[in-house]
Amino acid sequence: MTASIVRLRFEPRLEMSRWLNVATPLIGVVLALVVGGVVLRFAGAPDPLETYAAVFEQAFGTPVDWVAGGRALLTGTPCEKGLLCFAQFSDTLVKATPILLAGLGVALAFRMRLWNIGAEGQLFMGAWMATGVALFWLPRDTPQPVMLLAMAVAGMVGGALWGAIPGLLRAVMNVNEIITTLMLNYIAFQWLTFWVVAGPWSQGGFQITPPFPRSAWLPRLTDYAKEVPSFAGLTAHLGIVLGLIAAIILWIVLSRSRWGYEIRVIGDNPNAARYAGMSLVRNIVIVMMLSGALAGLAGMAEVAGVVHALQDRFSPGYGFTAIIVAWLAKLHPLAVIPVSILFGGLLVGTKQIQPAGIASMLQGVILFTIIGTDMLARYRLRIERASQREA
Amino acid sequence: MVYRHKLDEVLAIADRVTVLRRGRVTASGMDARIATRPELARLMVGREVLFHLEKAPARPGEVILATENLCAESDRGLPALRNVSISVRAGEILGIAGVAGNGQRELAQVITGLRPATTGRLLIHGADMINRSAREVISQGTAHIPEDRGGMGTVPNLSVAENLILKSYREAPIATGWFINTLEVHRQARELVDAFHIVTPSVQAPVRLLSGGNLQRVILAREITSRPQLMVAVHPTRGLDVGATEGIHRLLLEQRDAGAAILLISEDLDELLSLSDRIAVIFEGQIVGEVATAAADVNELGLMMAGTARQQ
Repeated sequence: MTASIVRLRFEPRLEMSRWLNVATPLIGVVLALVVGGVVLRFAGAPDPLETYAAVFEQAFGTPVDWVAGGRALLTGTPCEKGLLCFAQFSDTLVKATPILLAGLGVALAFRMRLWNIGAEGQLFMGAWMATGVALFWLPRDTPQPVMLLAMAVAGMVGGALWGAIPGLLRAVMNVNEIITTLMLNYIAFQWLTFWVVAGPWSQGGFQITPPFPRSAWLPRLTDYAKEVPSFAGLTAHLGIVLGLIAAIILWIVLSRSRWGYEIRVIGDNPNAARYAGMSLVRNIVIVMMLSGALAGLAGMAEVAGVVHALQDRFSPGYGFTAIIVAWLAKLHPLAVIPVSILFGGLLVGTKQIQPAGIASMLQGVILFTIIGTDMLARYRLRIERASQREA
Repeated sequence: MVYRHKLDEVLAIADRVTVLRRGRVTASGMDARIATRPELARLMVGREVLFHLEKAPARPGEVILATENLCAESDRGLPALRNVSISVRAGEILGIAGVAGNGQRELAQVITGLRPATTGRLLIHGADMINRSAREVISQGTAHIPEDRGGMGTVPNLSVAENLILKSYREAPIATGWFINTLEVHRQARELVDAFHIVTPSVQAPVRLLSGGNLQRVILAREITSRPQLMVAVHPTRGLDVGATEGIHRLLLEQRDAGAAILLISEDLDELLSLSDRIAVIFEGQIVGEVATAAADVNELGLMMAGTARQQ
């Protein structure tokens, strides 16, 4: 008697091609859309493809809108009546801004295999510090550049200090940073709640601070509507530019600088780093602080660019989305740019969809499929049919 | 079927021998009774392999490495080194013989700044280097060929070129200010790949794709270009084929003749006997004896390694 046994075995691939490196995240997203489509179907969507098309249109606009927008921009006229021009894309950029900045921070930490799950908390602390500067620690008539610079620095310091706590604990006492960064999220949220909800910064018992003075607003496109009429109503703000600059700087530092080299060595083989005389303790603390600083800047950008005040629930989980974004971008700073715009689009595009959890559902499914396809990129699945004779 | 790097093992075990070189069968079904070591080595490597290295007489200079009553603990907190006192002069190779796990790893780590010593003295070129950082030991002109090529000696996902600068990335010409001069990195890598016969698809290939012998050549290329005064080599040819082993032995002797002090830690008595000028035996963290290689007796060394000499 013979029995055919099918065995599945994972073998590490020797060479991971560039092609696979780009293809696996794409395959992961497509797979996630398929799975999400099934869920959508059960949630009552008659045609999931149609739903996706609608989401895409909501997030990035139609070709007609883009042509109209381009024409308006070139001719220096306002957007034609009835058309949205760049309105949707501008909204998407607004949502992408904190995701981009926090995503860069997460990607930096993950490069060194420091699993910073605390971007959300670091973002809160950055927003809190920036708010302090805008409302209480600097006079209201501070010139805008000084005010914004001070807020940005304060936001980065807030995030950096919040990142330094798990960084020091990990570096000095080897405390697991996954647990500490996760827990510090809740502490940061409670801290924010204390100040804003009926606390010292609350405006007459509402769960929000008084509005920021105009000098503490990040310039938006719509602020230039006088010079460029087609910018009217567009709320994309300077934060996205900060994000793009940060991505480029981070990319150059990681790939070209001595310090970036140390980070790559430590991330890949800490033993070799120690052997080469690199300081792990110092670099763990520095990277956690920089990671936190980028998330803190995300928080500053959100309060100074969008909310113009501090609210206890100003973030729909940007810091957590940042984790998925960093992973999907394969921790490459430049790849974080398009991925965060995609996820910004997901937030904007699904706003109108019922039930409301569709965006979170898709994000979660994408994380799963990315990790799955990444595994397939790194390992080869061997199917072995072994005929075994039974006694 | 048995696969082996060590020729003597093959000849002792096998009846028939097949030789593979770079994916091709270069000889098949040879009778192991009539196959000779040089013949097999030639088939494996593709050229004549010298089993007896031409070794010039040592011209020892000043003392480069000296330890006095060095003590250290293992990872588990147990005593691993007990009052180790050794010295190595410029231009000589001191071999440390011993069965693995008798303190060799800890000795290499204490000297290279990777493990704290509990007591004792450590002098490198006259400077007190006890419990200094690895970085200070490196800048004192110490090279280290670690026992774990993949786990410590190289960074698997970084390129061959990037692995070659692991010890030199801080200084010019590799570093220019805060940045790394990529052009110079690649130029130097191509030079070293040629000079040390490193077989790699390119200098940009991740180093994990390289074979053990080529990995070791990358490490040696890197450590030798730093022009070390002191070289600590731990099991430098373990697991390598005869061709790679011979090449690495040559490089070590060249370094000795160029005036480096070499501490060679190995389990392979043949290797120790053919390279070292003096051999010290370590057993349970103690140096139990030291002999000049010319006067060394293999049986006596073997007995000391097994700890019997302590009873004398």
